[in-house]
Amino acid sequence: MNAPLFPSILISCPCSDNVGQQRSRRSKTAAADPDLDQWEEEGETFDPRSPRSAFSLFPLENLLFCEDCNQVRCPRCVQDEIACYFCPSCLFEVPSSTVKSEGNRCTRNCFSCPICFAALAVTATGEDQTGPFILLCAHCLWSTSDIGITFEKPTSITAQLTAKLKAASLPPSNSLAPPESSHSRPLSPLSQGSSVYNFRPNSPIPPPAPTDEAEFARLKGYYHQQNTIASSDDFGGAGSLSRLMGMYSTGRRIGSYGTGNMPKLVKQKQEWQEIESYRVMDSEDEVIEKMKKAGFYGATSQSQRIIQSHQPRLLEDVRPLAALLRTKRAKRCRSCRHILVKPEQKVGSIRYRIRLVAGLDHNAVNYFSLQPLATHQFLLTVTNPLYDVINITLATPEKTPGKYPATVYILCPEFEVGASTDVWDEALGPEAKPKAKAAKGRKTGLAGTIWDSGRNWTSVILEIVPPHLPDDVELEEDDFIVKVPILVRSVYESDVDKDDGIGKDIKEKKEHSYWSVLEVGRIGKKVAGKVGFDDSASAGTGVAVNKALPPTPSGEPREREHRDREHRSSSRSHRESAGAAR
Amino acid sequence: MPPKQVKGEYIETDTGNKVSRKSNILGSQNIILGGKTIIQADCTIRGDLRRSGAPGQHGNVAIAVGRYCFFARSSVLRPPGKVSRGAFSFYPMKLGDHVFIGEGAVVEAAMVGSFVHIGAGAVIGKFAIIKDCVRIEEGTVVAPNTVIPPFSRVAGRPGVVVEELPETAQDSLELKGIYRMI
Amino acid sequence: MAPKSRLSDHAASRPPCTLSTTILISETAQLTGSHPISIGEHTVLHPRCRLNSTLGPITIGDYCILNERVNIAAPDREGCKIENYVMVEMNAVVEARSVGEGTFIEVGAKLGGKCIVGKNCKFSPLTTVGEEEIVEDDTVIYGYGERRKDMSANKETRKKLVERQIEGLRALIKSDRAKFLT
Repeated sequence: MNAPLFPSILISCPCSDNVGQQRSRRSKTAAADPDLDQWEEEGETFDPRSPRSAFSLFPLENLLFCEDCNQVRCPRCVQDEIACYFCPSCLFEVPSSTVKSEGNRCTRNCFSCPICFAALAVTATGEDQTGPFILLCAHCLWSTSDIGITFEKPTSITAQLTAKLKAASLPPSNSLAPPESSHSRPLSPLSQGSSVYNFRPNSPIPPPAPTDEAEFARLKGYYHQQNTIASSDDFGGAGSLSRLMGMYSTGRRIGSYGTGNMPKLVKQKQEWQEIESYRVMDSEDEVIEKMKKAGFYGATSQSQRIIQSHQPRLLEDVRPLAALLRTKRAKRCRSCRHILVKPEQKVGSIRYRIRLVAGLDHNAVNYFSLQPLATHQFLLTVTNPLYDVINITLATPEKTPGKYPATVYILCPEFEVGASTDVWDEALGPEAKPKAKAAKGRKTGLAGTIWDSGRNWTSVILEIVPPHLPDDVELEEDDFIVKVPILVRSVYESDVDKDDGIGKDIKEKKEHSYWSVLEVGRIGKKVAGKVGFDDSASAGTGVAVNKALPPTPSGEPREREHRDREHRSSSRSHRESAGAAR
Repeated sequence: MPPKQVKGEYIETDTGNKVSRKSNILGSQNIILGGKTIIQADCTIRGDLRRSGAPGQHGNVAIAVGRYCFFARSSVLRPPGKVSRGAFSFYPMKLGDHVFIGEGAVVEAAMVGSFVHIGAGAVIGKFAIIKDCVRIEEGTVVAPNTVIPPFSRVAGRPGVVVEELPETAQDSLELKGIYRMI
Repeated sequence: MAPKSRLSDHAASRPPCTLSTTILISETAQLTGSHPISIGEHTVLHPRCRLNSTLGPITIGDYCILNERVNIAAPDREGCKIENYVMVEMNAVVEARSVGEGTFIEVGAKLGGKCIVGKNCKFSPLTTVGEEEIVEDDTVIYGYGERRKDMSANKETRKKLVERQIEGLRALIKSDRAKFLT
């Protein structure tokens, strides 16, 4: 999402295996567990470098969590539901009926510059704030006066602009005056035809090609009519359905069996006329001549051209861009339809009524480079936002996948993380503290022991020996980055829903596992004899470290206001160089 | 993680604001800091450019800042000004809570919401309105009069919304942690 | 990056100055160097704006506004000449041979050594002009260095706005002209 900061953690969402169909594959209650082990036994290690992985790895902050499915939900396996439409510029909410009738652009005074895409402001050109008014870009100084348009009043610019463009678009020879309806939505990209800056030769070539705009109006009218007929029908639903089916089957036949079979039937249907009618290619000579005259500075750039619906070649033909509406969306789990996110209706509000997110903050640490063939130790901190104690098992392949594998070793792969109880519990005395184990803060750095732990977090040491990259081979950028796949498996007991009132003390064992990818850093050049990376530390398992490690900042007390029910592993891996002890 | 600052670098106010002695604050009587805001060295705040004429309903406040804001080194905050009804006047600038302004950034916005991150070297044009939960990338130039809706990531010159931020944006843009560090 | 502003009250040599009686110069503006600096009528120098005439003379016209942290330095013996109605915004660096009338230099823009800038140009924030480059009249440099010609006819209105802004600033910035005349 942002510029790469190392180390960073990405979590794999299993949805690319098939959304919603294999929901029980990777997470389930412990009762129905057999194929999880089986799956692990299959020994397929998650490969962060496989091309498919790019589609399943997400930063923690982009993930949601479905409580019912007990599974992580990524932006691909949630379903968006539009809560409201609004204009990103004036922040007015647009009712969905207006969106349907007027199109997906703001119909107030919100436009952006066709040259640099900054916002345009209504500006008075006369003395003392009087008209005529123009839309002026404060960034590149483009204004509507550059294309010869000024406005009489500073309000309802859209309507004025429409009227002006309409006046310009109707050359006297054009007999195919588009009906009123198409002009009621002039800014919808669908209806912006090429009629305004019509490069078509005026000489009528039979059959006279109708303008896109006229064609759109005709089809729209037709479908509207059909709609009315269908709804007036007694068996409305069935009738329209069969008609639809008819359309589809005809369509398919056209597509797959060629056009020869059913020409008669197709021709009778008005909706197919669009496909049937052919177009005479416009003569480009005129445009080329104009471009020659305008020169480089008079022609549109590619980005300027494609953003306009009529794709003008010349700067004199561009039009201000009406602001595209944005939406606020609720999100549902695709497999159980549970609502995961529900924003507040108000446009300006950043509150959520429901928000089930997978994790919270995840502080990135500074970019630094790894020395090849030296042991680097990282602190991997797992923070528990749940109100129950969790047991974590971490698994990682000894050698990371990829052409140049790094060696990875987790000193303590199995440990416990305390519950995220109230911050006050800790202060209220030892009996309120769920986890006051004696061995806290040993920091021995010995294999099989944790490094440090706190109220709801535990840190373990992760050792990485980056590979030595050959100098004579051309390497891709990706080869420089050490990516460690880690299988995180957590087991915890949580209260069963107390809906029935009797299952009060029944605890349910829940298990959840997923792959995450830790992008540790970039492998740098081997620096001979660099202080701080002497290989001596690599022999002992970090014995030297215990003096040098700065005390880990304790896991941020997390506030209970967030309903983040996902147990999650936020890794605050702190920079740590082995052998930094001096 | 930046090292703990040398004692004496900052002056701490009653409400917990930490203002660097090397910062450059003009017209401090027209500036309101909500508390727990950090102003680093060489940071310039132009409180002297207040609204001309009689004091309005908020007195002569030129810059109002919420809580837990962070203004990095060499950043500049300056109220926007324009000619209205034939006379030039500055207009007050309002910042919400948890606003991060990166090193060397120049802000002339009319309003900046809460949980806004403005990257280093960014330029926020006059009378821009930035709503809550917005991340403005480094070196972005937000044109004057631009409105940035909530949950946006803005980049480019001129800055345009390039992405929507996830629902968790508020948590990642919170600045309580930074305040504790200094 | 933003220029470092250090108050150096007496350290640097004081250049011979020709300051119009109508200028508005903040006491924290810095005029340094050895070559003459002359500033025309109604020009405004904001606090901590810096003019350096070490390498050559600097001439500033009438009705200019030089904002906070602006850095103007003469590139060589021939000096730097800024015509009337030039607006230089914060953090801008001007080392041009000449800047034409009515040009707007926005936040953080940099005019490289000995470049010649025409009339009514506009440099959007953070844009740069190379050394010894010649920029024609009415050029707009925007975005990441894209250029276009401004064909609009409202140049006179822009000058009016600058005049009004100077009027407005008179009430807010305390002028200390005497300090710079030795």
